[in-house]
Amino acid sequence: MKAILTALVSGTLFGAGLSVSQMTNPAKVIGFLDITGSWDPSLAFVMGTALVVSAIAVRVERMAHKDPTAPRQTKSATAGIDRRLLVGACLFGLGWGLAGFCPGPALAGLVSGSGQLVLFVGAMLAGMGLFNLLPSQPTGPA
Amino acid sequence: MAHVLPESKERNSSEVLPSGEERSWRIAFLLGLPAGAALVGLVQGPLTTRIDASPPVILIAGILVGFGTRLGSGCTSGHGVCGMSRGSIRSIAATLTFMAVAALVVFATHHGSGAIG
Repeated sequence: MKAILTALVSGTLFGAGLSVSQMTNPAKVIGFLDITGSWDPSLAFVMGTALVVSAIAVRVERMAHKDPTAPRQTKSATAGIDRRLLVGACLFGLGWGLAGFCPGPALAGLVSGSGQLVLFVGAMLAGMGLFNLLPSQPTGPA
Repeated sequence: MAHVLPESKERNSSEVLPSGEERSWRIAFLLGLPAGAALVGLVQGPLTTRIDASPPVILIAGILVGFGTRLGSGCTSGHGVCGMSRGSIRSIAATLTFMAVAALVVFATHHGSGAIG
């Protein structure tokens, strides 16, 4: 129950952050990606700040739950980078650039009641389902 | 997003959401996203979510985002924030890749001759 409550609070915070920072506004996202046009770098600060806060949280969490049996992460320069990761990232980037939405903001943005977002999220879930048709192979961690 | 949290080491690739206790908290997290956006909406007014693309392009974009997220094991949140913040090399590679591809797509659609959408 505690895990569910923690996840709900996390998700709510995340959804609020995505909305306040306008990650849920495709025009803003496209403006951020439009580096050769009228580039709007503000979302870089959003992502950068999120990254720093999250990195601190990860550190605190690791210190709080030091597990000596935990496997050490490999540190070689290209460890674990495989074709699936890169092809997946390319396809994701294609879709993200076309619509200006990625999964988190799309789900958060559903509250706007936009038919466009219902279509996008429906297609996104279908795309996730489509993945199941691939020959079964374990995917790597994030 | 939720499906790339570090706790989920050996995920079966045939599921969008895992079964059992893992499932409940993930659903709670996902429900929190619109809840948080709704709370912000109460203060700031309705969100602007208009996509500047035609329905077929939105459909294709959605499929690409969903499929790409599963194939690449993460998205802007999963790789860009969670993965990079734990220093994952894979996440750094994925983030650089999707950022570059998305920027190219925006360049092509907004500055290229054959604008889509």
